[in-house]
Amino acid sequence: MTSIETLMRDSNPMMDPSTEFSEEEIRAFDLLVLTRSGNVEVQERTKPVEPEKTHRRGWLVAAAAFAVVIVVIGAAMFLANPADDVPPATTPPTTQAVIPTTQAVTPTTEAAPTTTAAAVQTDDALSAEQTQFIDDFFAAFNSSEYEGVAGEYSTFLGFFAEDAVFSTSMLADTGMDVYRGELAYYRAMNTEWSVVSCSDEFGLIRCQVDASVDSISHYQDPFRIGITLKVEDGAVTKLLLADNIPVVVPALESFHEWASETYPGSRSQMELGDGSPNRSEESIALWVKLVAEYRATLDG
Amino acid sequence: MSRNANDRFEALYRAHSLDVLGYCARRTSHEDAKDAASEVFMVALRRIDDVPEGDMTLPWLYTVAKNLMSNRNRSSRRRLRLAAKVADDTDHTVPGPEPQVVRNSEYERLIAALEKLSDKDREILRLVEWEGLSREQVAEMFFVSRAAIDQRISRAYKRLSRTLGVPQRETGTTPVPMEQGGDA
Repeated sequence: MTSIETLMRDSNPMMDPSTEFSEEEIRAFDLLVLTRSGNVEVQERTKPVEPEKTHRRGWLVAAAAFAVVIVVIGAAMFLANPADDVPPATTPPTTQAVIPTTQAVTPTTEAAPTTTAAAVQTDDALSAEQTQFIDDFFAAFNSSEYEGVAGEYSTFLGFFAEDAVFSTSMLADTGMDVYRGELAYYRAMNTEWSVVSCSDEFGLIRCQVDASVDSISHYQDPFRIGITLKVEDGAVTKLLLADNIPVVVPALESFHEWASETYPGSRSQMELGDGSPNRSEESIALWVKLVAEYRATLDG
Repeated sequence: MSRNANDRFEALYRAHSLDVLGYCARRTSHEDAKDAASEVFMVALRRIDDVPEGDMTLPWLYTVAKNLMSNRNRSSRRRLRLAAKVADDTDHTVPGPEPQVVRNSEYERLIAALEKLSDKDREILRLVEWEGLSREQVAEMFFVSRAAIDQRISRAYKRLSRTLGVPQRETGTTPVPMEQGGDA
């Protein structure tokens, strides 16, 4: 019997858009985007002409040429058989092609403000205040001074509201108490975060961060993770950390191999059944001890 | 627009135009899909420097599409409600776009059952099963953990399974449909 998962997948109303849209429909879509995007550029083309720009957008020019051909043919047919109730066009066909272009942009411009604020922001760069906040936030993390009350920005937890929610690859929407265990794990692993870039998107601060972790850094460069923060009234109310699991898990295996050989049975104390780190006090102490020894072994 | 931005937009469009078109077409008519998808790319064009690279590009485009389309649906529902009021039509419910494209009654029942899920659960299921996004990508889109997405999908499937009387792959058991007295 078909499972619900299979049924769900098979109910996809459009398995493959490339075959389910006709060539004409796809061409019409290309033209729609062309005209709308072309209009955005029209404003720039009032500047001195830059011939090479035409070459860069060769695909658009080709589509534009196609559009003009269609319009010319359409105009010729129209002029040959004008509708009784429509006056003949008095403007050249090429002008007609431009008119819908201009009109087409209007709803686009109007539609954007009615979406969430995020989708319409035209400038997502962080403000100076946000930049300072983020710099201090990551500096506090890297200093390993974690404990602090809300508003105490020299400490990492001081950046968070008391009822902040934390989500990571292993934690689903937990509170600060549970997250403390995660922080202890980071400290045990000598984790450092280096900000690559941040933007203010969809009302959230999204950062690309290079993470360096002692137990695996001898095998590879820092790996990229994503950290998203919701900041309200000067405090982080939600943190989402998107780990780089495909990189982290295999890299950690080298550490676990060493640990299993040196301290048989250690892994069962350091990890839970689902492979996530055991954040109990005893386990964290073991992580600290073994990571330090492992590091020394590699350094030595 | 700089050459770099121009090139990026062109590459973005080439790589994802059909994906975005497909996303929109799964949620509305072909004609509206083209219009909505083109709006998505206009937002991308204006914000090309903010479009994330790599695995998060497509989820970003889908998020824009989702926002644009929910807004359109709201407007459309408002218009239809108004028209219904004028016509003194007491049935103000507006069918979703999916029934226009379902292929048979089995899928129709599933689509009807999907409509009974929360908006978020329904969208998560569709993103994973129809759009083919990974659960990590969806987690990032919804600003929740991967574990939270797993929980939502599992819960949604359980509910669909009970509603339709179709077994889940993991359990292999056939639940009693709710309309026949199964658990709610």
